[in-house]
Amino acid sequence: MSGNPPPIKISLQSLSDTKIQEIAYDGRETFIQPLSMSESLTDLANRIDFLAENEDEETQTDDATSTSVDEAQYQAKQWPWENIRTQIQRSVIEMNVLTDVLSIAQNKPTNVPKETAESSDSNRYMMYDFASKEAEPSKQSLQMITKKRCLGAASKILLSGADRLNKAKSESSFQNTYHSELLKLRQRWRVRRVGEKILGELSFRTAGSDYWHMGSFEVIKKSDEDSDTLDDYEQNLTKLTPNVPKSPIKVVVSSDLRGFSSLSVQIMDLSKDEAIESCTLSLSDIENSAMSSANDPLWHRVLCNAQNVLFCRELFARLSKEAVQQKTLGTASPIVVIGDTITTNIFPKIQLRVQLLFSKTHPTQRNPRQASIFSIQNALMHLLLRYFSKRLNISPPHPTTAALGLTTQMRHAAVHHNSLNQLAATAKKTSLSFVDVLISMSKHYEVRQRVCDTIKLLSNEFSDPDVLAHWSLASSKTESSARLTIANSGFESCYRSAVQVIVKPDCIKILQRDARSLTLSVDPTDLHNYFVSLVASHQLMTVQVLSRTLGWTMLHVSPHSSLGLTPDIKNRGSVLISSNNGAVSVAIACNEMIGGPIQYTTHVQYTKAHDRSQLEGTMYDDPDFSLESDKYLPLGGVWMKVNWPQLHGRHFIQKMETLLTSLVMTEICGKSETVETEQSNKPETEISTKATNDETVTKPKKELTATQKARIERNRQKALLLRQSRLSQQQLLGTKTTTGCSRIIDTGGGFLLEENPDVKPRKLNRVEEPAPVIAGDDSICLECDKPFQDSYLLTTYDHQVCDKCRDPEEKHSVITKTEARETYLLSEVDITKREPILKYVVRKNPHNRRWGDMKLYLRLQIEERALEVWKTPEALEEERESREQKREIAKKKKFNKNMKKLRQEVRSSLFEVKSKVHTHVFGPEKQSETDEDIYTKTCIECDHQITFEKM
Amino acid sequence: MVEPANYQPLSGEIPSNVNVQEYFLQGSILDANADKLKQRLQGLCDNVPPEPFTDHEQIYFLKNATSMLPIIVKACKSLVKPSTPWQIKYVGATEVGEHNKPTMIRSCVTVAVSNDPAQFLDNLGFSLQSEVILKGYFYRKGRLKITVSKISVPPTATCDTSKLEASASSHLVEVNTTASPRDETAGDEVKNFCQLLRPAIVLNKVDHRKLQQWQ
Repeated sequence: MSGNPPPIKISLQSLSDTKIQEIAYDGRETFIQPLSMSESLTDLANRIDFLAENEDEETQTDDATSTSVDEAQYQAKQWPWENIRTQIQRSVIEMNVLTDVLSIAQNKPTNVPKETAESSDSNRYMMYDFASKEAEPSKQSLQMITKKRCLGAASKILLSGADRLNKAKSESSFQNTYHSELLKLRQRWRVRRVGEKILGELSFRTAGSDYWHMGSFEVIKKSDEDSDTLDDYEQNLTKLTPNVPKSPIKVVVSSDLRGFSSLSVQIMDLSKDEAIESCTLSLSDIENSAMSSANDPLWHRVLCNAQNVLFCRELFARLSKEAVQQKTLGTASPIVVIGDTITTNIFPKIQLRVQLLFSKTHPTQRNPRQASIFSIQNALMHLLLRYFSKRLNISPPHPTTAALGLTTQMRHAAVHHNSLNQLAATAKKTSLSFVDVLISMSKHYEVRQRVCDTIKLLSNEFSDPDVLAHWSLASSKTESSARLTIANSGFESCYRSAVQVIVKPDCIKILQRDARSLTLSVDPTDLHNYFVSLVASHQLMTVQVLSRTLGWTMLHVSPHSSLGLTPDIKNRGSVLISSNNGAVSVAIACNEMIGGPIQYTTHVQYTKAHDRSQLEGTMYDDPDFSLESDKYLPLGGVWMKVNWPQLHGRHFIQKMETLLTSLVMTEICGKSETVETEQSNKPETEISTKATNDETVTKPKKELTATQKARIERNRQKALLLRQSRLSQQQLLGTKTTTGCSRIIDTGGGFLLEENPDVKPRKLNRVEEPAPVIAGDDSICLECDKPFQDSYLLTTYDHQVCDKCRDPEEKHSVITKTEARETYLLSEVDITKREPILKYVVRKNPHNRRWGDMKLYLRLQIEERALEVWKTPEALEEERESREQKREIAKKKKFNKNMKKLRQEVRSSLFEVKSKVHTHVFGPEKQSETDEDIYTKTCIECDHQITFEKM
Repeated sequence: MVEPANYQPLSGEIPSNVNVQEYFLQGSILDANADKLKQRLQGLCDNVPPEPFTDHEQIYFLKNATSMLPIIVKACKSLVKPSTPWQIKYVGATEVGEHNKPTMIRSCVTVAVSNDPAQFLDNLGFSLQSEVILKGYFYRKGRLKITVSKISVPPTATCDTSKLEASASSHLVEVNTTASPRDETAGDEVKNFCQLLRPAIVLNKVDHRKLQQWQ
């Protein structure tokens, strides 16, 4: 560098002491901050490298200075010197090691052998060894104490911190659960904020109730202290399910709603002083199953209970209000309302009692019998709901000046002629009496029970014909019906009586097969009497039919001859039949002992010629039935009484069959004889005539000897006797199928068993329990406004019109889906998807059975739907027209297009493309009024306007 | 079956005595705010959808010999449901009353008639004073009737409801109920309900005599 000749003078100037860290693009310089004194000292100190010192330097002095420096630095304990200190320390160690090595090296004799030198040289040698630092003497106990103290302090800090964290967390979670619970509460109940409070309402007001009680409650946040304490009522609530989740919400309801309430309806038999039927009604019972679960929080239960109390009280209030207004209502005694009880006698000795129960404690578990529902629960609930909805859905007045609260019918009735009865009927239809329904339902229930009992009694009492009662499933709350079929087993095809028993609250109506209808009172004896006469007439009818099929002749029938020989026997009818030649007559009388079963008295009269030996033992002379008086002479002959137990057969009709067939049999047996007697006119000398007859028969053949004849006669007599004896034996023992009434029983297991007449077969007792009453409401026909239960239109189309008013030709005609779509311009979605979905009937396609099924909709409903879609018929008509037009246009377009194509193909040379381009033909230019430079010109042909500027 | 004399098959639960008072309060609201009021009413009133109505009202006057005030009869007809009968409403003089009376009171008798009563009223000496068409919504709460309606003048001859010309840019709001004069609570009921509508609309007693001075 020095070699270079310096032609230019360079002046050097220190610009700044500090270094430039960075120069920004705008030329500004960022300086590194100048070091402070201590920092610069540290920097300088760091630069000192003691190890890099010259070896030749005087170690002693250096050592001394360095140690002094070291000492000083150590004393000073200043951070800047820390580095230097360690370096000095290291160098001191190095120095010490060096001096040691030097001293050993100095003292070592050079020429002495190693062994001697070591031995002689006062054991000075050098060893490389780790320098172990001497451990400090530890004071164990003291250390432990301090350690413990330190740990204790640390743990205390940790614990307090954790505690605080926990607290904060729980605080926030409590707040969270409070809000989430409040949200849950809001999902189930109506609450609103009023100032600082949160108030709610649990009345049925929005549903249409007008009960005075507001049923308001307040929601409050539980504080920590009272979160676990429950009052008696709440404890009662939680008794059943102890694992109620805790909640930070507490609801406060007014004290009169805190409790358990239910409405009990009882039918009491006053003579026995016991409840025939009872049921309790409470909303919670119904709700429990559907809405609430065991995990419901306490507030929900409190509110549910309160609402239940409110419900019961409202229902009871309505009942008692009506009960006070209408003192009697087809009941045996006036309706009495005392306190929380309404009582009345629906029938003599049968009391209906409605009671409002309220208690602060949980009611004890009801016994299962009491829980039996006789649908009053549902009916009352239904009534209340209907009352609510009726209150809400009163027809709005039109014009608005009209009175509020009238039904549409009432409004129209004001200006249209109506008879008083019609008006009364309308008023009755619209009025809704709770007590009325309750009483008629309970009456119906009671009457139904009576009918049921009577039928049961009847089927037990009469062992003979089978009585089958079928209770109809479809029953309303005040009407149920049973079909009673009476038939003899084995003779069902012969004759069968059937009656329909319709049970109403105030009477029992009976429809017979011959279309006669009887109305019986609700007194069970009435019904019993009717049933007895029914059974008797059934038996007599069966006898008639049977005798006719067996070829007997009916002489006399009297269905209801009430005169009997003795006053305590009621005659229920009698039949007199005779065999077709009049040889045997049978008289059957059906008697009923007072308070006893039906008896059948049968007398048989023979002509004198009749051989009655075969039925020996089954008949006897009736001492009561002596016909000695002259007036009985026309009856002729002797009447024998049949001993029924002796006859073969399981029941009366079978025995009757046996009797009749055997009588006919004997007749056939004795036929030849009778014929002969007629010929000879000497019935007394039977044998002799026969003998002569035989002679005449055998005469043409061959002359027989007297001995031969005698033998033949003897044999014949013997054979006859044998046959007769066998016959009678068989009939008496009944072992073989001779009379045609013994039957073979199919066991169903592949065996055919012969019937044992001694063992009575198990009696058929097919009396069913009546079906539960479904308290459904009758639908009301839209046409005639009469209630009905079921109809074709209702079931198939959900259209409330009864079968009587159905007009399949005109009003309720059907329409296919395709037709509906075309006529009413409905889309598929409108018909099949739009709510409510229309019902339809599927029929085979009449054009071709293989084509898709035809769906028949009700035209009425389709029309309604069309109106719904198109709003007005006019809109529909417009749409139809516009579519028609569109179709026309499209048709024309298509035609033209096809035509053009055809021309192109056929006479392409002639076809010329008409590609006409419109060229604007502008009119004169006009100057704008506002701006002089702006001009406009307009196309003459298409009104296109151009605005431009002229400079 | 002979019904007792006081049997009223038609009136239902309506008080059958003729002496019926109408307790009412009226007010108006600008069209722009009417929707808000309707929403509020729907929340306050019975839980049924509001009933749209279009009523044609003809107001007949008869000069009263004894008093300055004429006898007023309104013949009303619903245009929405033409099948419903006409109603004739006799409206007595409106009593504004003192401060302690919460509402305006007037006696009123409403009777349903089958035909247009114009001829009948004409024969009686009534003269048609004015006719209006009220179109709006009807609300109810218990026995209170609340109507929010737009008044328009009917076009001559035809009553085409779709082309009505409104006579003002506001809706008429009326809250009324009919009750017997002994019924103290009816007026308060109306008043309390009107309080709930504040501040959307303030229904106050209006002195009708001042309005009727132009006659």
